[in-house]
Amino acid sequence: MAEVSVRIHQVSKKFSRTFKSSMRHGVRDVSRDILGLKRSENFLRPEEFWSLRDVSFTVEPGECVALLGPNGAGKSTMLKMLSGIFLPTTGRIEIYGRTGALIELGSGFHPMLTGRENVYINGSILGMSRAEIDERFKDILEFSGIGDFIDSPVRYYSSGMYVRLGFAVAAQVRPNVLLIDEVLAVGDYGFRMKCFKHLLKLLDEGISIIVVSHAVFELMRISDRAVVLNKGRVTFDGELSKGIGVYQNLLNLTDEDLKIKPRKRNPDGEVEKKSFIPPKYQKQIAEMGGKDPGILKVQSVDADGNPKEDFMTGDTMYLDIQAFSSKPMDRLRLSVNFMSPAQGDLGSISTPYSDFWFGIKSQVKTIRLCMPEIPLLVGGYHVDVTLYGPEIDDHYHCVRSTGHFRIIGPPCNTFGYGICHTFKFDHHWQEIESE
Amino acid sequence: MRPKVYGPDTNLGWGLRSWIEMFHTLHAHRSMTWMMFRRNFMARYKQTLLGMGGAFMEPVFVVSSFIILDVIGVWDAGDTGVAFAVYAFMGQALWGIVTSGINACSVAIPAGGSLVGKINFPRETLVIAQLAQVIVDVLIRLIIASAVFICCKTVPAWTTIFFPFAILPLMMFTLGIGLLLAFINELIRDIGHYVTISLPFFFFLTPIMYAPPEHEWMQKIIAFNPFAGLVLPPRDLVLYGHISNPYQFIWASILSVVLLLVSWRMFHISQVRLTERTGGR
Repeated sequence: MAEVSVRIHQVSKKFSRTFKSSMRHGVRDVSRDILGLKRSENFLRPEEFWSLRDVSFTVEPGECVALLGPNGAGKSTMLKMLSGIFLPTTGRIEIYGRTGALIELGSGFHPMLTGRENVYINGSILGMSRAEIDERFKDILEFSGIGDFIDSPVRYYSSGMYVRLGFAVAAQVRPNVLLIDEVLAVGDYGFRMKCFKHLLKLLDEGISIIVVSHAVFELMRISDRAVVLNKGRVTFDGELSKGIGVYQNLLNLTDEDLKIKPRKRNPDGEVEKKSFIPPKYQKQIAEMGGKDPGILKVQSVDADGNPKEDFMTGDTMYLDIQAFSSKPMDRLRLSVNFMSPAQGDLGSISTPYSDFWFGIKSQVKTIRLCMPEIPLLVGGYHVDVTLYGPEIDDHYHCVRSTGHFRIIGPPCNTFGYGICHTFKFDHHWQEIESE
Repeated sequence: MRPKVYGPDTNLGWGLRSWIEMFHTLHAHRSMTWMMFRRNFMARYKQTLLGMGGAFMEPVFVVSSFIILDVIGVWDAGDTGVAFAVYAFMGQALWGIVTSGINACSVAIPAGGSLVGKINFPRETLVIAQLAQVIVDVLIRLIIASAVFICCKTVPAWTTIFFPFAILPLMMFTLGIGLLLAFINELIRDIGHYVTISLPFFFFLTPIMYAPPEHEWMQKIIAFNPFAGLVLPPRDLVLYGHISNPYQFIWASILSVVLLLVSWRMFHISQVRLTERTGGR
């Protein structure tokens, strides 16, 4: 067996932004190809952009790699290059063995034809011979759970039945490298478990899987390694539990408008100057929204105050919140809302709840929030922090999507043998004897 | 194990190895080609009143029109040597390979839908599956033609047995233009349209609905018209027992083979680029 199943070396891919440039460059490229001129072009022409840039990684036999990244990161383009639908603009991809792709379930299904007829068509599209399909038809029918509907036109199928049949056919293909793009969230819970069981069996057989999905927690069932792409480049390659945090943090960073609010201007277009701001804080205050009083910085730290973004479930986590006021203020309060890009609001806490009020005497004050035994599970998280005065309507400043941190372990188990999802609840079990 | 390698220069070149690879790939996907044809064929007649019988309707109406034209004498086809209905219908059936074939092949890639951007397979299979559909239509026309022969009391010549071989160059020529248009159409969308609207011009430039004229300049045009060299010989074999202009048939056949090979290679080289530019998203 080869030591690697897939080797991706310095792969880049560019596309055109507009139809016009696509046609112009397309005619030129196709003409060059027909004349046999070299394709490799390590530069951009007008109205082109890099969809992927210098991507390198390898996949070993029996390994499942999760390809993560925000929309537009280049994940699907990468899968299409691995399956040979696209070719790299520069670089090289080596694939050892047959490639199978679960990119679109039910490819080639014709709505007017029956499930049975479509099984044969779809099977042949995926590279199976008629004899192979004949041999495996019973397994396909059983896996799909379609039953008597197999002889009904697929136009009468529910969307779940449609993709179940598509997955059942695709599951019969035995590639060396399997590429999966956003198709693991198909069917009901029972069917999903059946799919995961099938994929685990393939991994045991030494088949390599590269999977793209935004349902990151589902990926933990089959994968333990993540390659995170952002803007076409690899930003992380390593343990999945840490990769999920990196990916979820990226989801926030791309939403820049949440992070930086425009500065308030007067009718003449000039920035309003409420009060004197010391020069050393001016840039920082402007970046955080130009509020006075306001929040200057929010940072997750360790016990010594050093920046730290990776924690384990159950660790003690600290959050330093730096507040600013150009004039002395008293009886200030803070609220911190913990957020997950996947789950939304997780819970808010505030200083008055703990009967903690604070003041700012000399322009800047740091408040440290201590979170012992943090109950969050693997993922990327952030906080929204709001600074208030003593009264209900004393709302001074709110900073959203800040203080990013990750929980990188212990790994979750989604098959019912461990803990999973967002929180680790404090709990215990006991056995009650029946009378 | 030798790896499958994808790089910027994959699929380039005109050497022997690339041709072997093309034939090998097409052979490996013969089952898929057949299934794609079956899919299109079966889907076409689902939920229809006459089912496959509907395929006979159009040729029946066409041949009826020719009989009416012949009976009322409004169309002077010249000396065709056989009944006009037989002469025109045979020619029209063969011309149907050109028009329907080119139209079907040029839209084969968009007709492939999401398959094109989601699955790696030779796109030629889509074009061939479309052409196979056209061939079935032509076979249906030929079945109708046998009825027309009986009605018009015309006996086909013994050389009809060579008819399947005689239409091969015509099919190769059609597939060649179809492959060429299939990829050009994806880059520049109006080229296929202009070719399609120019076909009636070539139809009337070819003696399909009229006997070969005696005008010298018209004979010259017909002599250099590859469509005449490909459409007329199969009909000649059925109606007259010989090919009127064998040299024209030979050079047109050679042209068909060269056109098919060149356009197939061009299609094969450019198919990934086309997917990237058009069907990849």
